[in-house]
Amino acid sequence: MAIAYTKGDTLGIYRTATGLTGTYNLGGRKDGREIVPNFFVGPVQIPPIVILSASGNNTTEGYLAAKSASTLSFIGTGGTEGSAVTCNARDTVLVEDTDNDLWIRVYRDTDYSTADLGGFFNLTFLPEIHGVIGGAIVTKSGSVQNHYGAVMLSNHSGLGEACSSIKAWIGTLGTQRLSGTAQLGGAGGGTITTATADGFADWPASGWCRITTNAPALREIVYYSSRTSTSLTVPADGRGRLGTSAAAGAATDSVDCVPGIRIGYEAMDSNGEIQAIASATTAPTGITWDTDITSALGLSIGTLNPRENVGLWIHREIPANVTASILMENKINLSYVVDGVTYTNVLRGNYRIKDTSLALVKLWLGVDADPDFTTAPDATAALFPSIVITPPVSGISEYRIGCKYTNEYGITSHDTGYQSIWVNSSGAQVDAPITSPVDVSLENRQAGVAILQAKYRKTLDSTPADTWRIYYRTNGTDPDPAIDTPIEILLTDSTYSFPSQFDNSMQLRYAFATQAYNTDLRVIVRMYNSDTTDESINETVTQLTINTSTQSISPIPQAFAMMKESYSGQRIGTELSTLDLGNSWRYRIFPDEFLLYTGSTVVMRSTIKEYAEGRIYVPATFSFDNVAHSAAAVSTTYLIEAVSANVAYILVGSTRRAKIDLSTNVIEAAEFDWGAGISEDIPVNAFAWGNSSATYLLQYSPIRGRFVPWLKLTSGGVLSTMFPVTQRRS
Amino acid sequence: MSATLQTPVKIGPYLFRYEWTGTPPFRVFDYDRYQYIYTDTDLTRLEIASRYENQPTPIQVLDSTEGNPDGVTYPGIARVQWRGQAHASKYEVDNGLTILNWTPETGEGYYEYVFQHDLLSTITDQLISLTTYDSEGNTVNTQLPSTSLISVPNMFNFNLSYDSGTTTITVGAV
Repeated sequence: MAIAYTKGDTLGIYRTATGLTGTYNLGGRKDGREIVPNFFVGPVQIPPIVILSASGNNTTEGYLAAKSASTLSFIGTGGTEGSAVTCNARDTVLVEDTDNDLWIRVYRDTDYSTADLGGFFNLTFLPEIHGVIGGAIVTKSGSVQNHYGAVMLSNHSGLGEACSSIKAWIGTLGTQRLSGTAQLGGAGGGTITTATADGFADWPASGWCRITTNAPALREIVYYSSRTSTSLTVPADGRGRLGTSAAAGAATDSVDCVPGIRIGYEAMDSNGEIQAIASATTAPTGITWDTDITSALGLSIGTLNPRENVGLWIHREIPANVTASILMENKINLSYVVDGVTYTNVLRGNYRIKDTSLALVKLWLGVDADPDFTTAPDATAALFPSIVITPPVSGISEYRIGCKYTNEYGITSHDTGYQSIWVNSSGAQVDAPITSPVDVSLENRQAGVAILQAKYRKTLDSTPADTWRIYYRTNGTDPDPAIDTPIEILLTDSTYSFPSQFDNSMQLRYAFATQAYNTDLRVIVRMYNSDTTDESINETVTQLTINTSTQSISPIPQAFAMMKESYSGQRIGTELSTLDLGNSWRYRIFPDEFLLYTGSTVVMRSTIKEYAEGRIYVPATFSFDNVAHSAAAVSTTYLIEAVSANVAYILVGSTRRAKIDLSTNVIEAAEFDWGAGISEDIPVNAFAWGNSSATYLLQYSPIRGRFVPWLKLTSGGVLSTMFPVTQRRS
Repeated sequence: MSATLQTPVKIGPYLFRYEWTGTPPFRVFDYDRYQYIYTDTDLTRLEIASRYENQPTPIQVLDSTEGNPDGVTYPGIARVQWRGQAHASKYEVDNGLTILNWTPETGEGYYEYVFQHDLLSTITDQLISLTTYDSEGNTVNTQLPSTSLISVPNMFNFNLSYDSGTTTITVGAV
């Protein structure tokens, strides 16, 4: 059995107590309770085993396992498994890692459980928080705050051995650096900058810096309120801390990250006690304080024989106007010799610093726009901020208020929403207008048609709208709801207005009438209540440029359903007109259609027979390319110049302005306005007519009883058609 | 490049839509429920029912280039562990006002209770008390030190009032 209270466990750390009811950690006698690291055992347990204490060198994880029905082994933080230790009923034993600075003391409580040892503890070790080592929680103040406390170091040896060469010193919290690049002046705030890249990266966000000359000798201890990876910012209130005085630094100074504490010791009196202080803000008397960070220079306490104690006082000094922090760390190192072996231990304790002035409700204002949370707040208050607004010059404006809450540690909520108030130009509050539609979009469809879609969330309005209002312009200017006449569509109009399948909203799907190619279509969609005459106030313009050339003449399945005949080859019927254009090209005109051939291939077919509406068909293999032509025609016999079996040009005057090329399957013109319509009436009975500015191809209309234009080509190379164009399947 | 969360859009009473951009995959942390909604998603849109009619649930969206959400950095929880006692029958955890938990003695060894910070409260210091009962109803009470729980706060349920005389908008509590 490894004997408890021996080796590294010889020097116990106990809280101090005064009075019969117990005021703790202010000096006085040694209390019966040890100060041990906090630990959690994890979900799997060894039920009879009670953990009594552990070395402070266990800083994160540990593992205590039952090796048999009555033996245990231990792995400390960063260590390796030590020898198995027998632990019988009611035994208190010391279980060590192979590193004897990593140990744990346990008791087998057979009163609680008579089960054999089995299982394990996956241990997590944590420093205490707001205990005697860390000190009480701090609230930022304009004055220096001092906190004092004492623990009792006690030789509780289980073998009656002396504990000698006891030393205590302040533990460091970051890597030591040379100040190097920048140092503090003789007084006031400043910065300390190291030349080492990322030299301060492992230092806390705020804390204390111990500056040592290259002698080495203590120059000063300062508090830094913030840092970068290479610089510490030291406020004026941070100078000359923990019993030091402000002094100008030097590039050869070393800087160490330390907790904001200093320590001293007090020998016990004849009763085994030390002085007691009235409160945690009362300094003990006769203590020589020490801030050294090495065992060699720290407190040298000497020897404690069995049952002897010594008080270890801790002075925590918080400067005025300290920075809030959720976790500050204190750390004290110990070393001592037992039976010729040197052991170490660590006392660790944490505390928080809160700043009540940080606890604020912050307000951001957006006028007819979302509040911008990336900027400084427009108003703050402890609870209920307010803000004076400027009413709009005319109409009404929406004032969007977003709020976030920041707590006393400077942590801010993630609220990103807002609430609104509407105010008119008189400064009076008005009711919320009807909710504006959302998800407004315009999309090109075939042949100059644009589809408008929008969504209205009627459940957001106490008096919902009953009508969609579509304000639009096609002249490149924004619609103006004040003067434009909208298209009105009832929400009950099942042709255009549908209930959403996903929520309680209504969905608009409206097709504009055919627009010319390149039309700049601009739309504002609003919601309107015909009873109250209220209308939503959104001004957002949705824009679309009509573009139905190559991409938008993709096959339309419905078009093929209307076809009655095969579109390749000859058709049977009364032929009104035919003409050989040369080089295998010809056209043929029937009562309801026009066909342009080369050989047996129908290159273009324009029909006007279906419901007095027309459609133009081209081979599915054709594509369209915006290529301007301007070469002079070789032959101007016809307005279609057939130069080979595969190539023909459409002429304007005597100039080639469009090209049909079956070798590459491309129709080329400077611009295409498919289905844009042709407003001119060409009163001729011929397949083609033209002048110097435009050429028209015509076909016979059985509805009108005469020839009408179906294709127009201008001298600018703009090719437009009377009807939508469809690529046929074969 | 970090994720950018757009202003939530109210799409119904208590219901809000969130959209964001960034480099997927995304993690989405809900500060109302104080837990992840997604830990690995390519979604860029989400609809959440809020606790309050006019305030969206606070969330944080992080993309693949970012670290932990604040809710992980500040978990706002405290774990209380105690050792079981021979002859005890049950343990009661309370916060000085309310009994939070009953735990029977089962011979397991150690027991624990996890406190979650009351996210609707701005009070961060939590009182914790443990009472041990034996089979005859005798009790022993242990008062633990006040524990400071740090979490990401949420804005309280607020409304707006307007004074047309001073053209002042004031935030108030609902």
